[in-house]
Amino acid sequence: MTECRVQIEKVEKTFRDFWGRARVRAVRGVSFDVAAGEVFGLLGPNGSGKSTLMKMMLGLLRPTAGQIRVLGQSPDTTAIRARIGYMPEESSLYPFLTAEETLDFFGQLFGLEAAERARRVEELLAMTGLAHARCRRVGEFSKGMARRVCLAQTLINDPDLILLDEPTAGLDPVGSRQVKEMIRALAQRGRTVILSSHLLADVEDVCDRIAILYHGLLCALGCVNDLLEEHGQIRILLPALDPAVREESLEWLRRRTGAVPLWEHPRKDLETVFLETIRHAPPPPEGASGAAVEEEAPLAPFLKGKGESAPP
Amino acid sequence: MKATFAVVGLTVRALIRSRWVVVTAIFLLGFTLILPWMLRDDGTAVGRARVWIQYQFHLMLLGLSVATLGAGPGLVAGERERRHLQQILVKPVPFVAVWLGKWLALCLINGVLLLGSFGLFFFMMVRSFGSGRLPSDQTELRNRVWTVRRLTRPVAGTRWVEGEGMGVWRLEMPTVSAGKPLLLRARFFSPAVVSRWTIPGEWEIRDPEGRMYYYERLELRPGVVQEISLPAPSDTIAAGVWEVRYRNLDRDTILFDEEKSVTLWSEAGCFATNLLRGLALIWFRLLLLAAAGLTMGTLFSTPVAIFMSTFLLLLILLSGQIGWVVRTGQLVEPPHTHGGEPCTEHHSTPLREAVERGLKGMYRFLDRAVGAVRDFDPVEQAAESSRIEVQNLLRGFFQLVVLRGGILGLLAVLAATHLEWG
Repeated sequence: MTECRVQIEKVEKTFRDFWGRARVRAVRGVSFDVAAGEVFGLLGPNGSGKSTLMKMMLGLLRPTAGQIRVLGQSPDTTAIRARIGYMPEESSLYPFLTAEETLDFFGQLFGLEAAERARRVEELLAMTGLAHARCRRVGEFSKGMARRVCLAQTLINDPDLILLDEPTAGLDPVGSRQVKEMIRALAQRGRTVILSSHLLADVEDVCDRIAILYHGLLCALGCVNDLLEEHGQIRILLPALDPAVREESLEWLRRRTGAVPLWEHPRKDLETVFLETIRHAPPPPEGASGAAVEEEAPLAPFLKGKGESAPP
Repeated sequence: MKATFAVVGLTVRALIRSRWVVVTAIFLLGFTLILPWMLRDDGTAVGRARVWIQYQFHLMLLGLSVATLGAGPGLVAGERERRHLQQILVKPVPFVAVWLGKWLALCLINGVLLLGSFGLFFFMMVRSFGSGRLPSDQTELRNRVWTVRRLTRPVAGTRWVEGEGMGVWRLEMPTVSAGKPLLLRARFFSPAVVSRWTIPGEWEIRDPEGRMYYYERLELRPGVVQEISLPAPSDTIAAGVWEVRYRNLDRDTILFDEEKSVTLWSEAGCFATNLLRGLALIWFRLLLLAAAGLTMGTLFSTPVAIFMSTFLLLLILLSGQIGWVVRTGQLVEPPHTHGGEPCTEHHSTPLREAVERGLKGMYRFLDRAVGAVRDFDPVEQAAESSRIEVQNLLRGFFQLVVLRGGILGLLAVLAATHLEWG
């Protein structure tokens, strides 16, 4: 039986004003479980309660009613946070620290030894394409670069449970693709990922299961494939056909099924076109300030697990 | 502990890179540099040295108090509002480690700024008084300023006897070493009408064995502290009870004393060490203010926390007046008189009495809360070269840092467990 990493049971959250009057009911009776190795998406429009739910899983907010268990314990337990990585919606990093100092500081909070910290910082900087900007202060970074530092600090402790709040917000398509690949890679290695987003394509690309929230209510819950599949229709992909052959085939299908078949040339998505363009662009000039664009998202060796991260 | 030290490092970086340290250092060192040109003294070298020490200590105390109370709330409330603290609290770090780390960082930086400012002041003072002064000034400075004296107050029950125009005080003195001069300080008061500008009188001091140690006829000015340098003993005098007598030779003027009117001062220790002890007391006060600022920042939003911290500083500055109200039990001046008859404007009503009771209760609470800060004020002692005892230092550390700072820290941690950080 798969281990349950997060249990949410009839959770409610009501925000109150200074006088204790109920102001907003952000989450209303939400229940779901997240298993180990699963990528779970919280989907919903702005203000639907995704971030509130995530903060309750972290113990930053307390549920008004219901119960939350994270890694088998209450979220208020300080010790379990050693196994959790959290990337908030806004990067909220100390602007006066450099990228390297930021990661080192968060590594210290997890009690990592100096040598181990240095190794992980190095690998995470390489993974996020910020090795060349390590000595620049985070306050000078673009939003996307700060987001990459924030992602790196999320992973510094090699967490079992990773909570990502709008992880691709502010990232360029390359960074966005890298984050998605990284999420899949981490899930394959047994890590549990819970991400919230209102970017439907991102959720569709990486999540195994999703929960759709609206006004704090859980409106849908299930596997992505089950929810997206249109069971009454099928799509057949073929190489481009000669017009006469095509018409003949359509006519045959029409006669055979009684339905009117439709055809179209499949379209590439814009993300694929963009990535191909970047891949073929000339190399960046010396001293370029942006994040490095890699062909593949290299997962930091310490995140790969013992069998895969053989030291050089 | 690792997390606490990480927060210390972060906070030190924050204070340095936000230029808080630079601005505070420029303010402190700048004023330390120009202070000698701003002093108003009595024209004597001793007076100037004492005023300088007093002003410098006040400058360090007030300047760093304001700076600490300005920074403390921002380190918690500001970080919470910018959601920086949230990033730390989702790690396996309890709030107490965050609070302690920030407090230790403030302690460290305050200590460095205090020592830097004091170092500059001490260097300037040595340069200013070290040479180019008259030999008499040098002697006076050496005997009255560049020394540390232990204060001995009269034993209870030895008072002024006006009927005979004489005062007799007994003082239990420690051992007086040979060659170390003593100092007598006295201040007497006179009713409103004084027939002469100065009053003639006789001083007579006897050592524990009853031998006459000092006799002099001197003019004394009522209401003013009279400082008399006594000769150094040729042999060491063992600890014992000394007797000080004063006879008022002006039969037309009545003199009376107060509790601390007559004191004897004997040399006891090194001047620089005493100043450093005074500095330590200032530092303890800053540690308390740092705790107060951080706790205010935990409980309130940034503007409210800064307001509350400023209010606390104001209370500390007014602690003398608060203490006076508690001691005298008077909220207002006593009713004045009209031609000998008491003024009847102040009627005592139940409501008035209830309000007064409530206010007095509030004053007593405030006095308990901030009175200790006043009790461990080192400025006067440092300026008067009065020895700051090690016991006093330890008591100051316990009262200000451990007890009051601890209560504030506990309050912050308890509040944090009930707060939501999202």
